[in-house]
Amino acid sequence: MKTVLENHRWVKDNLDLGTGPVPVDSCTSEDFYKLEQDRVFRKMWLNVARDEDLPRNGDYIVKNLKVNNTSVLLVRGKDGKVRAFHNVCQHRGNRLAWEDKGHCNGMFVCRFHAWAYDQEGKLKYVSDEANFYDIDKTTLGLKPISADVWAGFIFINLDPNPSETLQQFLAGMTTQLAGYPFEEQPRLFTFHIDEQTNWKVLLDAQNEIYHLPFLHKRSFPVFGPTNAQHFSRILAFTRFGRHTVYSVEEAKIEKPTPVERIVDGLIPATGKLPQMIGWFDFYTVFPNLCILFLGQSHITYNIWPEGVNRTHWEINVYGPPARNPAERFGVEYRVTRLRELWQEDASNHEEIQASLNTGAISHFQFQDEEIQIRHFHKMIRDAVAHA
Amino acid sequence: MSDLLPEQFAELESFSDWILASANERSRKRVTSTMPELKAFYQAMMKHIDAIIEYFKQFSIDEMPQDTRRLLLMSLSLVEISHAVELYGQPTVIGGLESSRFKVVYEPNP
Repeated sequence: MKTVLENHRWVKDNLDLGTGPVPVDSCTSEDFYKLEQDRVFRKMWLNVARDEDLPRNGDYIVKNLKVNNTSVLLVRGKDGKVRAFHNVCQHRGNRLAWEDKGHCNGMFVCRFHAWAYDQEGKLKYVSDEANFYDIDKTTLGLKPISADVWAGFIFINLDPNPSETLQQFLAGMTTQLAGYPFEEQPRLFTFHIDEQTNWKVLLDAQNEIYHLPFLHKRSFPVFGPTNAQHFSRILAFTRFGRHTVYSVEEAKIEKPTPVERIVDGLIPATGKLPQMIGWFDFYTVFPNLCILFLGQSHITYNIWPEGVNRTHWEINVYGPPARNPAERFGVEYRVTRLRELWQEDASNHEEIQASLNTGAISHFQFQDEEIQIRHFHKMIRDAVAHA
Repeated sequence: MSDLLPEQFAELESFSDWILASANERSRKRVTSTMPELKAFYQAMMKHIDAIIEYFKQFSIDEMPQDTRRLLLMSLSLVEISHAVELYGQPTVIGGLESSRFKVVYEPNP
């Protein structure tokens, strides 16, 4: 075992993060939420989709983001490139695409007056054009949104001139994950959970394994190494710019349940993928994307703020599809077992938020094994402080 | 005799109400069942599970006969309720957010 089971392993190498309490007001203040909307969710690169959501040229999807009041139209053009636009007709502001997803055979046609745009957003047709005054179609294309793709993850940025490219924003994460076989792991499951909680309360609750032996003693009694007092210890904490990954080493499950034992027998042993740091790697990709890597699969969380006390959590599970019913049984087991854990987590989120709103605590206390949460709160506060 | 399931598993046809096509349906049936009902289904399936898994290995997921597909859906119900029986000793997740709030909006078919 490589995990060093000592105390105070991380903070000494991350002195900029400090060791003191962290105020909770970022999770309860309406003013802070408004600043997040402007300085985080209108400035940062946000993951909104995957390449597989737009499999063919001409495919489109619409993402309605409450956090920045934007309806985003994502289109894969005839040239294969993904572009993003405000889903708004430039005539009088009607919504352009009304379905959440579809295929555009030629033009996007507004249902109000039939103005038509091509898949690159250019305005190609104005009905009754001669009856307008000096209309210049070249200036009335769909309003573009910065868009870029990394490893099949489609990101947008509402800043028309982002201060960093997507590659710069993602920093060394792209080197660590270079060559990861995302394309061999199509989407298998999607969960939607709507919660009365601040998005950061939800993210924080996922961003450590300190709670595993207590909250998840039934769903995952064994999850990584523990020290002599049975407290969990991560293998590694790594920073990539605004993003972090915590890594956990495998711990042997001495007493699998009867069905668990059957499922283990169905999974062929494979070597560790070279991009992995531990057996389980949990990336927090600032601001609101988590990517979890485990075995030959990965899971994403898109954690969408909808208000200071409201969050929409989308969980996507990706992995090799089952080839036969036995493998299908195994896939269902692994995913539903994780869902039990998520249900255990989620019941806390709303209670925590309610408690924070009473003012009963003013600060969070973070231990060494919660350093990734400390890092995340610093990134948020830094972004919000930066006009 | 009904041919809901492959012949060698016909004994399980009394549990045919566990043949449910979606994760949301299977989850709902789990949380609205009693523990004795869940245990009876669990024990009946576990008697056959090794043979069921071996039987499953011979089919491609895209080309299953209908009776095998129904057996698979019944087995996915076993997966769902196994957590109630093996982890919690009750139908619902102890201290968990209600299953109905965890909406499955996309899943493999089947």
